[in-house]
Amino acid sequence: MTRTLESLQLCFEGAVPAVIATAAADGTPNVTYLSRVHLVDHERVALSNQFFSKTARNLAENPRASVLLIQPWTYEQFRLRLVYERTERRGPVFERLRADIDALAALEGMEDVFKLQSADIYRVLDIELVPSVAVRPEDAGDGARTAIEGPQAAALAELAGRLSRAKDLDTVLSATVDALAELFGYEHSLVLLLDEDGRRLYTIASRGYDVEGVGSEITVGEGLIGMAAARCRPLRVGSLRQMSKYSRSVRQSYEESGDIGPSRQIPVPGLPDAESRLAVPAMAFGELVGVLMVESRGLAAFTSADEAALAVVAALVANAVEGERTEDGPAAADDGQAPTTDEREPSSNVAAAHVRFFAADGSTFLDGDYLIKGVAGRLLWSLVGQHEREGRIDFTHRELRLDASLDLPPHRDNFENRLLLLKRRLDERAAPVRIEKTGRGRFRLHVTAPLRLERAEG
Amino acid sequence: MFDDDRKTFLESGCSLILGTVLPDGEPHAGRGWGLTVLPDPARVRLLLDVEDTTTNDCAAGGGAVAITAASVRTLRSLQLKGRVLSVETASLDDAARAARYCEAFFSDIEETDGFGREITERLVPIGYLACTVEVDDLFDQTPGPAAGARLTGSPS
Repeated sequence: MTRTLESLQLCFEGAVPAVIATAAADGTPNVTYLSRVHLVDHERVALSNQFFSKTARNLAENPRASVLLIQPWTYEQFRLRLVYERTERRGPVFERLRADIDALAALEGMEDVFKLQSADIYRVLDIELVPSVAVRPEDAGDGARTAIEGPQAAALAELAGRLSRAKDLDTVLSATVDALAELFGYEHSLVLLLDEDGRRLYTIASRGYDVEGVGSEITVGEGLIGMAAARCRPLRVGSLRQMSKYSRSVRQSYEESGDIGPSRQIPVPGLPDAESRLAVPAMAFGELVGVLMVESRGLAAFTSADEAALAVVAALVANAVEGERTEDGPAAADDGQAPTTDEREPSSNVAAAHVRFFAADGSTFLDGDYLIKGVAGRLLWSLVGQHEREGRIDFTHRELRLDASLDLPPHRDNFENRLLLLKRRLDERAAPVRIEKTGRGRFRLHVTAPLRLERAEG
Repeated sequence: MFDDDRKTFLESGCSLILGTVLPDGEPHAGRGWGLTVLPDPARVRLLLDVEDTTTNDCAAGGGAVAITAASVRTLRSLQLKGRVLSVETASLDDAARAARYCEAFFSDIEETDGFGREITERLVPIGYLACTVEVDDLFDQTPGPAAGARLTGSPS
C-alpha cells in the first residue's frame, strides 16, 4: 500500500458522505451512504452500525466491502477495499463512534433515535485514487500535502503561561478566549459554566460574536454543548450543514412514521453558518465544571489534534474555576475590615437607572431590558439595596454567603462564578452599576447613576 | 415501476452511486454520471466512468448492479437493483446527458452543501460508457426507519 490511511485524514472528518458497497452471498450488491468512516490505526477503519441493516446482513454473509471517500478540500476521491475483522461494543473506538452519533443526535434532539449498536472494524486491503479529468494518478502525491497540522505544543505552553499569570478568574476567562484566537486561530469561542444544580450551563465568556451573550443558558444534554457536558466527553463536528441535513431527514422520516413527536428545535448558540464545532468538557477533580466550545465556518476545521489541545485548555480553565472557589470559598478568612460607605452622591445630571427585581425567580431588569436572573439577580438586588440604604460599596464574599436573601444552595454554592457572571453581564451592558474585585474575597460596587429600585413579587 | 414522480427524481441531479460484484464475490463501489428511464418498462440507461474498469468489467459481463439515487437537497433515496443488459461507448447524446447531469448535480451540492463548483467538478470523469440495466427491484433508501423497504410497483 503506497498511500497511507493517515494521509487521508481529512476524508475521515465526515464532511462529505462516504459510499459503501457490499454483496450478499448470492452475489446481489447493495450500495448506500455512510455519514462517516473513522480511522482506527494505520491499517484499519471503523464503521458505525445503526441504520444500514442490509449492509450489516451482507457483511455477515460476505465480509468484504468497497468504500468511496472524498477529501473535502480537494474533492480527490479514494476507493478502499475492506475486509471485516471484528465488532466492538465497548472500548475507545466504540466510544469515539458513539460521540460522533451523539453529536449527530444532538443537532435535532434525537438522542433516543440515534443509538450506536456497534463499531465494526475493517482491515484496509488497498487504497486507490479514483482518477478524473482533474485528478490524474501520475500527478497525485502521497497525500501528505493534505495532512493536517494540529495546534503546536508551544502555543499550548504560551496559553498555560498566560493563564498562570492571571490573578483572578475574570482575567483567566478573558485570557483564555483571547489566547484561543491569537495562538490557535479559534476566532469564535464560548466558555460556559455549570450551574448550582448541574442542570444548565451558562455562558460566562465568549469571543468572536456580535453579542457576548454572558448569562445565556443551555440545558445539559441538549445540543452539542449540552451533550458534551452530559457525556463529559468532547464532541466534534466538521460538516454541520451536511450533518444537519442528514439528521433532519431522519427526523422527518420518524415523524412521518409517527414514532416521535415534533422537533424541540434546540437553538444552538453561535455562528448561524458554522460548519465545524468542537465542544470539550472542562473537568476538575473528576467533576464537570463547564464546557469550552470553539466553532468555525470552515469545513472540517477541527481535528483530533485540536480536540486534544482544547481538552488541555479546558482542564486549565476548570482548575482555575475550582481554584477561585477554594481561595474565596466559605472557609476564606474575613479580614475584619469595616464596610466602607460611599460618601459621594451620583451626579444629579445623570438620569436615574431603573432596576426592577422579580422576587419569584430573581429576574432583574435594567431600564426595562432583561439583565440577569437567579442567584446573580438576587445578588445584584442585595448589593444595590445595601448601597441605597446604607451607602455601602465594599463587600466580602463571606458576608454575602450568609445573606439568606440570595437563597444559595448549602453545598457547592457557585458564589464566585455567579458573582463573576454578574460582573461580566454588567460590563457587557455598560451598566451604571459595576463590580471591581479589590482583594481576596472582597469587591467594590461602583454606582455611577442614581438608582430607582422596584421590587415586584410576581 | 417508474411513475412520473420516480422518473423525474431519477433523472434529476441526484447523486448516483453504484455497487457491482466481481466474479469472486467482492463488491465494488462506483459512481454514475446520469440516468435516463427508458420507454421500455423497468429499464434505465446509466452512464459510467470510462476509467472505472472494475465496474465496467462487471457490467459488461451482465452482472448484477445496485444503483442508489439520492437527492442532494433532501436525501430522499431510491435503490434500484437489477442486471446489466448491455454496455456500449457513450454517444454524443450521452455526453450531453452527462453534462446536464453534472450541471444539476454540482449546482445542488453548491446550493445545499456549500462546496464550490471549482472543487466538486474535480470529480468529473475523463469519459463515459453507457449501460442498459433491467431493474428487478426498487427500494426506499431514505435515511430513517423505512430505509430498505421494498416499494410498491416493484415486480419481485
